[in-house]
Amino acid sequence: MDITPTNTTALADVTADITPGYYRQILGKLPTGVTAITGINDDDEKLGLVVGTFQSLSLDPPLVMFCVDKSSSSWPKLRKLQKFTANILADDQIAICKSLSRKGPQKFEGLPCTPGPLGTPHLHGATAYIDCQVTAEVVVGDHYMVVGAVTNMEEGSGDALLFRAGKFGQYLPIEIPSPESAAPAAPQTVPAKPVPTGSAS
Amino acid sequence: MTATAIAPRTIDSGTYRAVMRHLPTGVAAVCSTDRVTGAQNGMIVGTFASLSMEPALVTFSVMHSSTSWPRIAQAGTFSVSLLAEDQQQVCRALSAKGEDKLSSVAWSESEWGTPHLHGSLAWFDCRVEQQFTAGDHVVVIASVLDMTPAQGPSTPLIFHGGRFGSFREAA
Repeated sequence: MDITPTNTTALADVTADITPGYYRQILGKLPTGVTAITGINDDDEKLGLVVGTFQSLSLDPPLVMFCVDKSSSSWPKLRKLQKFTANILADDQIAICKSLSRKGPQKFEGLPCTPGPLGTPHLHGATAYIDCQVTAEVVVGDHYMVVGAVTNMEEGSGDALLFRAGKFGQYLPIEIPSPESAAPAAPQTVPAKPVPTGSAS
Repeated sequence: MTATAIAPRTIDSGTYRAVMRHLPTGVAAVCSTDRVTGAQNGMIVGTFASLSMEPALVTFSVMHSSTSWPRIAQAGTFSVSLLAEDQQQVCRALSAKGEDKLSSVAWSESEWGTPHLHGSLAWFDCRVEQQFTAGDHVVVIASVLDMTPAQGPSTPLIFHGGRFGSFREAA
């Protein structure tokens, strides 16, 4: 299904000033986690790609999503399997991120991993593993938006790797005398956060 | 379009939250001005993400029970203010229930007629292009009409593990 905006002529007029370079520069200000999407095909070939757009989506039913560039050579192969593991990378896994971001079949060389419940690779040392069946995929502009139905999820170890403005980093806690009532200030539309239900307004 | 889950319901909400806490997110304020009343509406999302460069599109998701989002979307054009580390109070103000949430927040009107929250890292003026339901959330796809960075260096607000924090560049 293609849900690229239909009124593309009008859209092109307004967004014409936004070049890919400018888009990258400004969206680069948004910090993201770093997630490896992994799978394995019938020939035992491990497949993987790295995204910064992996997100929680729905609590009931449990769904997650991510976006992948149409030019990705790995996603067409992963798509055929209709299942994947989202490995949320830890802050000591920059090398793994770089390795999986390369092109070619040698991406997984030297990367220890174990098959998860769906048979898809769980990279050792990730902070979390989310096993999914692909439940929807839509074409949006120059990307595919993939929705996964979660079949299994487990915590790993370590703290999450962050990416921002072209640089890797770590989460830095802000030490402030925060009252307990700070909890409701959590971003409320994220089902993954411990916010009281019904508080989203 | 509706994305229906095909998975059995073996993931309870506690497990989902516990595992997804490991994913850090930026924090963004989504705001608009009602064309009829002139009142401002706003909400906080932790799912704002880049989507497409050509055409320029961004995305985020909101709970389908949200009462703020329909009010914001009604304006047609809305803004996204990407919050900086010292904007936790802005996050609290916009997460609270009630009317006129922007009354305690400094902002100014953009040339698109949208509220830009002062002190943010960047501002996006957007128009809703598509929305689709996925489970208990609605995925919003918006075209970017304009984007403006703040001047000078800036540090983002990050929500992670149930807490606020910021970004430290890897050594």
